[in-house]
Amino acid sequence: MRVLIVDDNRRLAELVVKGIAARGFRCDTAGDLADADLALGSLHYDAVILDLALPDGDGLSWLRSRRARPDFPPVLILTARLSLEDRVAGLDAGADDYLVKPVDSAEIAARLRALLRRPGQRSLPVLVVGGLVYDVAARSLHHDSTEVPLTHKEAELLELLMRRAGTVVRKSLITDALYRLDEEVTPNAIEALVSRLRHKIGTPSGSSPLNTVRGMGYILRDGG
Amino acid sequence: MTEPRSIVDQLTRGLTMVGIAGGILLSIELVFDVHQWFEGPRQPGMGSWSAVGLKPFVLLCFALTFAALVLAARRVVRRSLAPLHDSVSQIESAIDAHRGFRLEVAGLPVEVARYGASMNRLIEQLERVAIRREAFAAEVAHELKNPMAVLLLELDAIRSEETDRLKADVRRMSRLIDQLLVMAKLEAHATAPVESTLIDLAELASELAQSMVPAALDEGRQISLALKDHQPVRGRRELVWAAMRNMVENALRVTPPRGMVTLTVGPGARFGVADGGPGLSKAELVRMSRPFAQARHASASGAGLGLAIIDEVARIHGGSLDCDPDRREIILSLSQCHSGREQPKQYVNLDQFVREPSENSVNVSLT
Repeated sequence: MRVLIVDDNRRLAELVVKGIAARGFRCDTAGDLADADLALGSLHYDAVILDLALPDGDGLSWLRSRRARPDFPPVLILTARLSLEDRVAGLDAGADDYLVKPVDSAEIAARLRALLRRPGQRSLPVLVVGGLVYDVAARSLHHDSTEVPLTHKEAELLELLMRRAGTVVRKSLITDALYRLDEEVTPNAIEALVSRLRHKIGTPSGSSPLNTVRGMGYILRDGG
Repeated sequence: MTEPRSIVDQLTRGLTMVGIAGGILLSIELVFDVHQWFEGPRQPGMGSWSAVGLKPFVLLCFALTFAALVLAARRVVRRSLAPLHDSVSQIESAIDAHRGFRLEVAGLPVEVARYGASMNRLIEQLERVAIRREAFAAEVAHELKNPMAVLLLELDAIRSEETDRLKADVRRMSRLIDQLLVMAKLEAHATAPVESTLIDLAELASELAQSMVPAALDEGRQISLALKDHQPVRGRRELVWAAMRNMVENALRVTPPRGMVTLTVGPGARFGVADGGPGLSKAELVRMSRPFAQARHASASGAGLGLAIIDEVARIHGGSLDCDPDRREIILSLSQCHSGREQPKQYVNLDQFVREPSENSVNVSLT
């Protein structure tokens, strides 16, 4: 996975490179937007980590003008601007995720992996979350190297949760994704399905990366 | 709006009219009375018009005329000063009006218009100061966050038991900076209020839960969300968000591992956070709402700015901060009545409302 880090703070950029390189990302850095354009024009990147305040312009307007390009990689904004309005503006401008400094490299790496798993991006043949390895085409799951048999619905649910690992997936989204419009779905059906899947991907000690968030939905934790 | 008037002109005109009218009236009376005075006694045939009865009659006429003149003058003064009275109530409306509010001076009397214009300059100056302070705080926060980000990543590379503690310290410092920034925003709001918009507490709560669930789960705490019969409220989105965020952060801090933090929206304009901590008494809540106060169990994190922020946000929204010790819940209620003041009054220049957001966004740009 190749990542471009656009930040004018050299030291910070180098530290991010070092931190996420250890987690399997190859990184280049760009000190300003012109450099970023140059890098993006000459190489293929799977994701961009973008600071907003750059010496030759505002990262947001730059992103807005580039986002429409069909092959533009997903963007993770990494900024010191922390207000709600800034966050909304960032996501509106076309960013895929928004992280506020200070963050550690584990979190950056987790968010990057989440970006790359998102549906609609260059589709990955294999999704990896913690000890779970899911082959999308074959619909097969390996948990800590042992194969786990899944039903059709369980596999669909798992793929959905893995693509959004680390974020809360709403129940309504699961219903919409897994069932046809004319299908009668009771809330219990989803709960039962989640419970079966949780059991299958749990550890012998009883803990499971699949958590229920009452009132919202479910989250598959991305343990880094 | 009517033509600009001058109170002095109006007074002069009115009093001149009264003076002229009085002069004419007095002249008529004088001619009539003098005639009666001198001619009267020589005509004994007119019994009732005796010299004895005449004097009080003349005096009465004069007295009536003077009374009429005094009343007329009073009326003239009153009418001339009426616009001044109206202007005072309009100027009073500038108190607590939100950013971008300016007095409409076009229709005011000339003397007051000058005063109104100076008021507008003063309001503008206050606004500039507020916005500059806010921008300054944002810039300081921004400047501090970068070295903190470097520090955190440097600690990442070392990896030992100590570094985890140090990393937690850096995060606490970061949170304190966030809170100080919100405090600066609140202070700026007190000087030059931000305009309120319609906000959906459920949407904010759900976004808040979304953003905080992963980290909470990593630390072994659960977050749940309950949406009851709620309704949109008018408020300052950024400030309400900050208050809600602080409520949840506080709750997570006092909740032991494996505990649960429950966010409740509704009924009405109410947002409650119940935690798994020991609970707060009302007296403690009041005491802790003062900046930098600490509750006995607020051990894990530094300054107790959180409650002060929540309390202030509740106050400027005409709402209240309350607690239910039995349910271990802290409740932020935003009052609905606040929306009444948001209706632009007829003499407020509407252009100012429309222009305001763009002005703001320019002013808080960061380098």
